[in-house]
This record gives sequence, structure tokens and C-alpha cells, in this order.
Amino acid sequence: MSAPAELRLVLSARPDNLGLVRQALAGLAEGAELGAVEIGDLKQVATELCMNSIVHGYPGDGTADGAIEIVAVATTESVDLTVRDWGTGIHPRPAQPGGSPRLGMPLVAALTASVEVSEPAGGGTVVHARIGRPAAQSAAGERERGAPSTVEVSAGPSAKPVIARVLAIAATRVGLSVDRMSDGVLLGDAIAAHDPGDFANSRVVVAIDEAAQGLRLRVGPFVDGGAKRLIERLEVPGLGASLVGIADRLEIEGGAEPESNYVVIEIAAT
Amino acid sequence: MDAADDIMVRQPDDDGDASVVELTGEHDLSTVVPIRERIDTELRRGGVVIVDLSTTAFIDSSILGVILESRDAAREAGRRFAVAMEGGRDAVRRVLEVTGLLDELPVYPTLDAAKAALSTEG
Repeated sequence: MSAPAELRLVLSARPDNLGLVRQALAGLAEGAELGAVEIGDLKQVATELCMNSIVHGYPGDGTADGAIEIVAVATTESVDLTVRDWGTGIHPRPAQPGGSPRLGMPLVAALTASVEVSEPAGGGTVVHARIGRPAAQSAAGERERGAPSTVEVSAGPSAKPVIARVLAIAATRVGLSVDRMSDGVLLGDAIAAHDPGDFANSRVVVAIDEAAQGLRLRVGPFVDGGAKRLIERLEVPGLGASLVGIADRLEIEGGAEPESNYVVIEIAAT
Repeated sequence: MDAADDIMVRQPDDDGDASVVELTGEHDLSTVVPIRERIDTELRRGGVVIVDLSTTAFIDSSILGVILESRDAAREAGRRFAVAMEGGRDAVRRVLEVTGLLDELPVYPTLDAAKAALSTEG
């Protein structure tokens, strides 16, 4: 097998650079003799990730003097893509009542074999994505549907974007419609925005069970009374709608032990 | 090339046909604003609006967002709105399939099919 082909781009975080990114990556992938589907997916994923950096990493009027670094390593079977910015990092996004559904990360999740988001020392956001054949260890240990994924994150501001993105990815994998996916993200936002003091050890643990019928989330553990307060808060006074109504099942599960209460939420696929 | 060159609007003919906003080439965050403006203008004219993706080579989620916003705005204003894709590029079809929008919008296989569907709505 020939050596992987590598490409590195450092560009201003401007929308008019997105086409340049696509063309450069397509050239790399064509040179590595990747298939048309993989090349299309690479262009799509790179555009979505760079757009995230432009819109969310350097929020404002688009004239911020920020940079994006794109590194791609292509073989005949896959491309490892890394997109980095030095912007504001992962943080809660302002609510967008009536705004567009967040389709970008679900799209990335659907078109990649793997995707990881991290905040490097020095600030900003790094996203690693693999397009094409999964890494060998991933292929061997391909997870079976039904094995819950668990996300654990510090309660507080960083919980919201992490939970929203993970839920969006899970929702895509189980084939939730765009509307139901948006419902799931709304619920995730509400959970993440809940008082950190109500979560045991100030950590939010979300176990996500993906099934053909939809998503089942087990959120917690809560301190005494915390689970009840979360459900009360899901009533979202002022919005004129209850997030409780979005869920197909919403109940407190727990035992007598302190900090053993969880909230179980089910979102049906249709 | 100016982004506006890749957004063509065919306005209704004497038969009261639909306005067609045709997106050619690649579209992303850099063309969101002119696309939204063109569609909004046609919706404000009060007629039927069809977004034609038949010659679109690439769209990202920001363009999908504009299409969904336009559909919702049309519904609220009592206007008729549709998306058509005759043939179309595999990459665009794949994005619509993966996001579930191929069925949800829905996307009609020809302009005539879109016009026929909208005429029965009216």
C-alpha cells in the first residue's frame, strides 16, 4: 500500500473559503483514488465542520480575524480529517426560537465512521472525523444496536453543547425524523441547563439506549429532590409549551439510597 | 463568479405558473443570504414558489435550513412552496436522504410534478 497522502490548510474563518476547502480535499481524495461517495461525504463533512468553526467558534458578523486549520490524511480506503479553530470553544449556543433545526452535526455523524469533538489546551475546538472505512479496531468491535452509550460531563455550561451533539448523533443513528430530532435536542438542552447542584457530584451522566423504536435516555444521578425539580423545570414556563409533552415517557426511576434517582425519558421515532 | 449568478429566478408566466428559484453549482454558508432573499422576495409576491435543485452540485446544512425556514414561512403566510429535483446530483440526494428531508419536505422528481402537487393544494 502506498503512503497516505496528506494535506494541511490554514485559512481565515470566512464563508467564502468553504469552496476552497472542498476543492482541495476533493483533489486529495481523488489522488488517493477514493470512491465518489467517500469524496462527496468528505466535502460535506469538511464544509459542516468548518462552518461550525465560522459560525460558533468565531461568532459575530463574520469579520473576526480567526483561523481554521484543516488536516487530512487520505488512503485508498478512508480519510482522517481534523478541523481545528482557536475560537470560543464548546459553549452553550443561544436559543433559536423558530430557528432552523441543527442539521450540521447529525449530518456529520451520519456520513462518518467516527467523530470526536474536543477542546485542546490553548482554546478552541478540534474535531476529528473519519470518512470511509472505519479504523481496524472499530470494525472488529463494531457496536451492536441496543448497547447503551454513556456520556458523562461536568454539569454547567459545557454540558449543553456536549449533550445536544451526542443526542443529535444518536437520533440520527436511530432514524428519528427531523422534528423528533429537534425535540430530542430541546430536551437535551433543558437537561443540560438544569441546576448543576441537583446532579450528584455536579456531573451529568446520560445513558443513551438506541432502539429501532427511538431513544431511551437515563439521566442522573440526582441529589434528593433533584429529579423531581428537573421534571418541574421541563414545564418551561413562559414558552407556552411543555417539554414534558415532547417525551413519550418521562418518569423518575430510583431506589432508597441517596443520590440514586434517575430520570428516564423516551422519545419515539415517529 | 458572483454567487448571484448561481441563483436564477424564473418568475411566473402568463399562465400564472410558479416562481422557480433554481440553484446551480455549489451552495453553502457563503450564499445563504442571497438565496434567502430571493426566496423571500418570491414568497412576498404571493404566488407559488418552487426551489429547483436539479442542477445543484452541493448544498450544506445552512442551505437545508433556509429551505426548511422557507417552507415554514410559506405555511404561515398561506403560500404554497415545494422543492423539485429532476435527476440531480448524487451528493445532493444523499444529503436529503440522510437528513430525512427527501420525504419530509417533500422533494418532487420533476418541476411539473411539483407544480401539479401545489395546484391541488390550492
